[in-house]
Amino acid sequence: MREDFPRPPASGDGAEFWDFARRGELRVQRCAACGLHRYFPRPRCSNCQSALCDWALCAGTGSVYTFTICHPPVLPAFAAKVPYNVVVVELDEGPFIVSNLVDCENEEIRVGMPVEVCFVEIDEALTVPQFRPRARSA
Amino acid sequence: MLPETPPQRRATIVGIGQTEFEKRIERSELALACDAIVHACEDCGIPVTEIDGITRYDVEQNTEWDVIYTLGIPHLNFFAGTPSGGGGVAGTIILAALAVESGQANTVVVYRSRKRGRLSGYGSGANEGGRPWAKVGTMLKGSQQYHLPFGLASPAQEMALIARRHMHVYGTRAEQFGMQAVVQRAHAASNPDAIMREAITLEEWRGSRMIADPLRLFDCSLENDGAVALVVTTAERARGLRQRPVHVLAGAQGEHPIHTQLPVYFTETGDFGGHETGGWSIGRRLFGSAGIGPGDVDVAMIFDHFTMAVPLTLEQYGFCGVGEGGAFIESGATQWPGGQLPVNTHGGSNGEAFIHGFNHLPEAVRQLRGTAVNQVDRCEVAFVNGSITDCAGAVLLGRSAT
Repeated sequence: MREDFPRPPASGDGAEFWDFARRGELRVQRCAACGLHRYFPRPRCSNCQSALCDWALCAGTGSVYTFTICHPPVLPAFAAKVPYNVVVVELDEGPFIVSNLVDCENEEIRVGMPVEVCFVEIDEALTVPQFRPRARSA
Repeated sequence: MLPETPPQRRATIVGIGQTEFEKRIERSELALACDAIVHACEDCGIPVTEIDGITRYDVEQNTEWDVIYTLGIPHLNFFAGTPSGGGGVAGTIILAALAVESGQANTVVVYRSRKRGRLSGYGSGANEGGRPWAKVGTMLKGSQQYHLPFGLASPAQEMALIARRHMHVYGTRAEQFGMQAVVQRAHAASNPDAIMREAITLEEWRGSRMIADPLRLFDCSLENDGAVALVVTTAERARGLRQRPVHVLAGAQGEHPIHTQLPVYFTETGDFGGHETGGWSIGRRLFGSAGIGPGDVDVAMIFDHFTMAVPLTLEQYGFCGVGEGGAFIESGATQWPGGQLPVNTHGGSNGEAFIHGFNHLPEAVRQLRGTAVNQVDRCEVAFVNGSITDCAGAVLLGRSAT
């Protein structure tokens, strides 16, 4: 296990999200009452306040809403990766998710570019959902 | 501030105090806090022992009991904190003014002491000096788990995401953030209290290294040590003191589900799609309660942890049109002298110092007293805000009571 990597807690509102990611699934909460997809995980719907939800499998597609290229100073776990990108992806289901874009030069990143999810294993305990460019017609 | 307050109880700022601002000061944060408080009391002539209220940021590490124990303040009638980060610039003054006007306290001291120089970390706690975000460790809590495993950790990186979206929607250019950096460094060059005493050119801004694209080093606030304090009391107590009182005309705060939850920032309040973001409702309440408009403001001290916050704040509070903040800066409007709304005339957080935005308040007071280094002519009304994201707020200060 990578000792230096910032790690989600094993329990709490986000535990299921990370469990699904480890299995290669991007799932977000979907309100059982009003149907709103929400991310990040929270115990109630911010639209109708219902506590009931299921974990909906996302198509994994979306587009880059905004991005930055990070240079030092960065967290120690990322020091070897600079300059690296951080993107906010607007998922086709509606929610926004902070992630990274892979298989893409930093200079090629544009707001609005279509992307699709992929899963990158940090170590045996943690897999993070990241994104890669997707052909516009896909 | 409160509509029914009799004139003699209305809140005024009578004393300002600050330490030196340096990259590294050897004294403790508590020592700096007490130095600033003592200076603020000396400035107005109110004895330290007369203080009966304290308001502070809740991230302030020097508590009210630290302060009263150290300074021998015999009794506090009122104490309160304001949550989160830079929003405390306005929130602490609003709390102090409410305490004074409601009669909960008569003389409230408000302070911020901070050691953020690179060598000044003195504890492992996030707010115990140094960079809070760099001390997060590997056991994440709450919403951190949706950012940090992707390398999104520092405020510069978060603000870069907001800046990039603003550029995309409105055509704002990174150079326009740079122009504000240049303006503020020019202001700092004539301010003997400023850490950065050399003006910069846009070319030098362009040559400063990238921190979080589109934000460069010269867009960032300084990492330094220092403390600032103010004394707030009633108009009646203010009479006959050493300094002309500055009146708290209005204050408004707002909290929105944003900032530490960046995805929500965009969905709920900040998508820049032309609809109102968080600051709009604060601005409307602020100017509405003062009975004046943005056009009546003579000088603005804008929370500028990063220069991109300046155009966004100008838009949110109605000093220019939506999406026009970059062009407003490019027109020269924010510079002193000559600009229609000089912004951060002390040099701001990239020029004078970054005391969590709190050094903007004494500069607004100096402008209204008529004693600023870069003095705005006939300065009657000053705007001061804290934060553009979480727990934001702003106050309007006046040379006259109305």
